[in-house]
Amino acid sequence: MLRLTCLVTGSLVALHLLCAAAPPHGFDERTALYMEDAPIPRPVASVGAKVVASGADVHLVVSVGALGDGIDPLPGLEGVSGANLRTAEELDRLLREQGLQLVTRIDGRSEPGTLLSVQHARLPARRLRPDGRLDLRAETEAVWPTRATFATSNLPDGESWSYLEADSVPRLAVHVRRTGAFARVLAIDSLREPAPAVRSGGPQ
Amino acid sequence: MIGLARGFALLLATVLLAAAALAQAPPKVTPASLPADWQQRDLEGKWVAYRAAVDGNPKDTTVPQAWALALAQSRDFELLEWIGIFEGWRWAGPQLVKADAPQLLRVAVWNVGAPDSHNKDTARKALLDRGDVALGWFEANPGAVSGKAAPVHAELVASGVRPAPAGHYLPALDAMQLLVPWLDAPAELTEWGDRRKQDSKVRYVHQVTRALSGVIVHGATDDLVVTKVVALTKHGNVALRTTAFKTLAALPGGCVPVEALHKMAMSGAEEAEQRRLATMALSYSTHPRVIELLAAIAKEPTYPGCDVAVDRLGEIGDPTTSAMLARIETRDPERLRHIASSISKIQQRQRAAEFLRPVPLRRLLERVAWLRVTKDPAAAAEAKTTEELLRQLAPQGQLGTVLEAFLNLPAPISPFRGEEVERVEQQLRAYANELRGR
Repeated sequence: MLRLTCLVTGSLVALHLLCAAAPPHGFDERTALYMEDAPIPRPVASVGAKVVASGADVHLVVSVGALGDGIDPLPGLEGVSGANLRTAEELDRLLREQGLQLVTRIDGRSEPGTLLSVQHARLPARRLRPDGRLDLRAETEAVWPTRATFATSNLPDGESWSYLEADSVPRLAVHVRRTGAFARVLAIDSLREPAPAVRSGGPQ
Repeated sequence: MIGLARGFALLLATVLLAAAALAQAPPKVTPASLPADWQQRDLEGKWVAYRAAVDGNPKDTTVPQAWALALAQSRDFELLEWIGIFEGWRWAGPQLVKADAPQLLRVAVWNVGAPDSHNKDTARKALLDRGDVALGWFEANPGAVSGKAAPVHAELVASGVRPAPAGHYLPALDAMQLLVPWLDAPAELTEWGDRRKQDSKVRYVHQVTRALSGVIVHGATDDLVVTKVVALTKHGNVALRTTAFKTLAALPGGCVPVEALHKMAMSGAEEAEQRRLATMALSYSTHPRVIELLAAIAKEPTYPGCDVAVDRLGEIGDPTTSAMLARIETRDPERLRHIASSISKIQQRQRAAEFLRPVPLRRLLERVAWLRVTKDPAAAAEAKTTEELLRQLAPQGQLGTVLEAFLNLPAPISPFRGEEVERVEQQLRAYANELRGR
């Protein structure tokens, strides 16, 4: 318990160190909805990207979440606008399998980012009770990861692209321009999964 | 000194961040322990044990995956196949792939029409990954080529891959055989209880609810299947009735049976909770009439589905709906609060320009198109209101770009039937082009 408390405190201190030195001007924040990779795409996750300063260093903090205004629910009567259970399930799976990471491409190299925090919560939902009654304002029984937040290493001067990769496939790109102590988030883009190729003899 | 302090702070931050990351990552899922009597159970008994484990641990998010891992280890591929058919590809599919199980190709084909894009895409990928045997399998199962699997088959053919022998894989599944007999449930159904094997003369409750889940995964949109699901909403068993409503609400919006559900929602002969559930399921139809039908229910506090209609109008309604909700007179504080919440949701959606996204945009355009096709006197006013809303959300020429992208998207399953399908679609395109200034 002490170890856990220390780790949580530690991560909060680290976050504070990353954020505290941010000057009042020149640092930027942007939000977007992550669009599902489907012929008719729907928003299934919320994304936040902000640049923060730590001394002379500038980091990009990216978060992806299953809760937020504008998120479409799973099809069916249990889903409620503003929450997507499948996104929460995917966050859970990816975090368990360490399949979610933020990387920044710098001079042809990939700099891995750091997982800062994971928020957990029950998702708002409608529920059919065993007696057949429909409850309009319920919650999922399970607690799910609802937001994962990552930070990059120090961003270089000029333009950089950071990618949130799921199962080693880039699914989100964040474009940042840094000029000395100033930095702006230029764009957040949902990326489609590369179209699977037809192969012979099973997976290569 | 200050530099040293800063360096130490950064080092500390790095160490703590690494520790935080380790602390945040939850453990990997490991295989579940199968019940001690596993070998004494038949397939049906194993299914019940699996469902009992999932339903009995609603707070544990790992149970379905842990069971899929365990079933792969014990080579219970038949049960994994059932999970893939009735609950989707998500956990069962990867295990069938890993084991190259004989059920793999047919379960993948079953899932390529799933409404859940994650299930659909990963099942499709499994077929493309072994394109030669998949094509060989389609040649041996020509009946599977039509319908939802047609695009995957076409992709395989177009790739030029040569078909390979697929004798290892089991023949295609027949949706009619797998679903329809179970959906025709007798009035008397038996609970499984603590038995381990089924009595083949008895029909169990879970067999019917399982088939209903299969309807959703299969994406079965056949009117015959939908009619049988509607019939189950009147079954004497509560679990069955509610699962049937849940199934109707999860169908593609164009397949939700508007007339049948509206009749139930309005009928004084139905129980109050049935009417609420019917209102809820009705609200998932994409037919333009639905907004009006829900609005009428929302206005009348004596209708059991009144609260459901108010709730759903906040999620699917537009500013016209918002104005209608604002005109509802009531002194009931709970109802007032609920109405205000729905109005607020619509306003929030408007601020976020949600009506420019493909699904809500189609709803708006399709409504105008349908009013025009049916020569409704309200068509002109609706067209004007819709245009004003869209131009407000996408000013200075942006609307043209939005509409052009929209018109390039595939049309979803139409909520119309017969000639109306084509006529409304043509009118929708004509209206969209009017708005684009062409």
